[in-house]
Amino acid sequence: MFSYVYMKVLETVPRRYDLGINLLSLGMVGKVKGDMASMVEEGDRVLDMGCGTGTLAVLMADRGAKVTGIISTAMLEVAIEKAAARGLNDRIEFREMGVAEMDSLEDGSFDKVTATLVFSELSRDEQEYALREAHRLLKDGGLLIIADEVVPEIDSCCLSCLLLSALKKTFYHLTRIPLLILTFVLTQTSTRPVKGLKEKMREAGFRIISTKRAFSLETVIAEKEGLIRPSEP
Amino acid sequence: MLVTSNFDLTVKRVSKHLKDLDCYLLVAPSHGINVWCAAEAGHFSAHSVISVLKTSRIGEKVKHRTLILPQLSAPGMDTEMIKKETGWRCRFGPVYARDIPEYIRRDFKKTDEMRRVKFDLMDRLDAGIGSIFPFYLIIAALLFVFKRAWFQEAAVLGGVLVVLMLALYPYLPGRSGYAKLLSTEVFLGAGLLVHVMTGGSGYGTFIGAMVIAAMIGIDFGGISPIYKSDLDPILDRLGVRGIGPVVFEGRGAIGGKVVLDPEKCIGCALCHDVCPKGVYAMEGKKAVMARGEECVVCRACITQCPVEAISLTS
Repeated sequence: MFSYVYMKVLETVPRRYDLGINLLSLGMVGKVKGDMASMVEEGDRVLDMGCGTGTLAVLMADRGAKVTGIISTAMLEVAIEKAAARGLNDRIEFREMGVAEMDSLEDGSFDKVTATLVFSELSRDEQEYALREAHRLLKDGGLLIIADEVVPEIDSCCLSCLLLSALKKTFYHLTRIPLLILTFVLTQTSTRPVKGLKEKMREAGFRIISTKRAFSLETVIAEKEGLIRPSEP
Repeated sequence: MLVTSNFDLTVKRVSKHLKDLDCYLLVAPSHGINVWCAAEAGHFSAHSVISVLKTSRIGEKVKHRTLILPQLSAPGMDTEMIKKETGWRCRFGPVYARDIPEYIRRDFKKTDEMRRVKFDLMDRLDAGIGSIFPFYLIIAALLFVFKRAWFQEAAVLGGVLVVLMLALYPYLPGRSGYAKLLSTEVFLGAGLLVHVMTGGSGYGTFIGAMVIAAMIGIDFGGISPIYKSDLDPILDRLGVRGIGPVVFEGRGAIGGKVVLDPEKCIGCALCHDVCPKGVYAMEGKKAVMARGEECVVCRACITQCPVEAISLTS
């Protein structure tokens, strides 16, 4: 009987994904996606890597952008329903594609590339691959905007920074475990923090413009520059 | 070149059997779920394999372009997509990792034995105890708090029953899971009757045993790889389509039946190759469902058939 409940519950995860992520980030993910969408201008061509259930894609299309959302899981169906319900089919194209399958997309064909809670799901090899692809797909000067779960770092520039960052880190760890359990029980959704992302972004040829934190989520905005080192080692 | 899913135990077991072979093992992302479950649920798919092929750059290390996938990944594996995206050809290896060395020695030919999923005593105990244990813990904890007096009895009873029922499962009278459950209950009920008639007291133990047996038996088929879920069709007939936000729709196989259209069949024998129950046989240039009653609707044949000759009817 128990295995049966497991099975049924797991099959319906895509439909509860949004709720799960909202819980886990204490509602911050909605705010972060809103902020990300506000960076998009009318007529922008945007690639949303790992678009999930299409929440961000819809927000950006609402602002007049032409969005391509790619996803390799069953969340695709939910995303397509969502866009259709808002009448945004002409401005959003969802495609079933993993981050390693973007070969068919043209070089320099996007003004912006976004990725929310995607890099933390990828292996290290996949992260590097996805960043190289994002670099290839962006126009010169195009923006890569990544929001992901990052453990707060200790900032030792001065005493107040040190205390504040230590406090943030403690708060993060204290709240994370109960939230993780609650969210998993309710929606079987989870995230794990990503490490060393900014360094990888620099290596892939991005210049980091700004970073901003909202509870467990960090938004990094970076601009495409020339490659610092060749992609083939 | 072999591929498996990223489930810690799977990787360890496969590696153990590959230890003396000259080969690569690619571990494709599957959200930490085993091959069969992940393949059914879309977590171990062509996307996983394409990703690991490209990001590992394994193509630079070997000249050939042939992948050996686990046979049980067939229900969710679009091999044509892998070929198109990466140029790698796929074939399905044996069900069990322990057969891989023999499979390679035979020049990548499988025997029918290697294609079959078995569910022997150790597997039954393994699967049963694994899936029941966490919930059993919860119930034991509840008893511990609210009804301490029952705790010891229930713990011992539950343990003994789990092991007994799983070990004896194929030998319990009855064909379906429910018939087997019923015969277990009748057996326990008879025990209770005898106990009471011989003047014994404290029949709580027997009642407890019956309740626990019901919990174990209600969907035993569902956890096993070789029996159909018993609960799906029953709930469907009762009109239960969901509980709260959990809507039952993923397994469209409720009451479904796999059928083969002999007109379309081109005799490629892929269905025969991937079927874990040996349903298909080749008769001349056509496949036939020789043992259709064995089918568990895993849909491996439907996914793999290149000409869509196999489909699901409701």
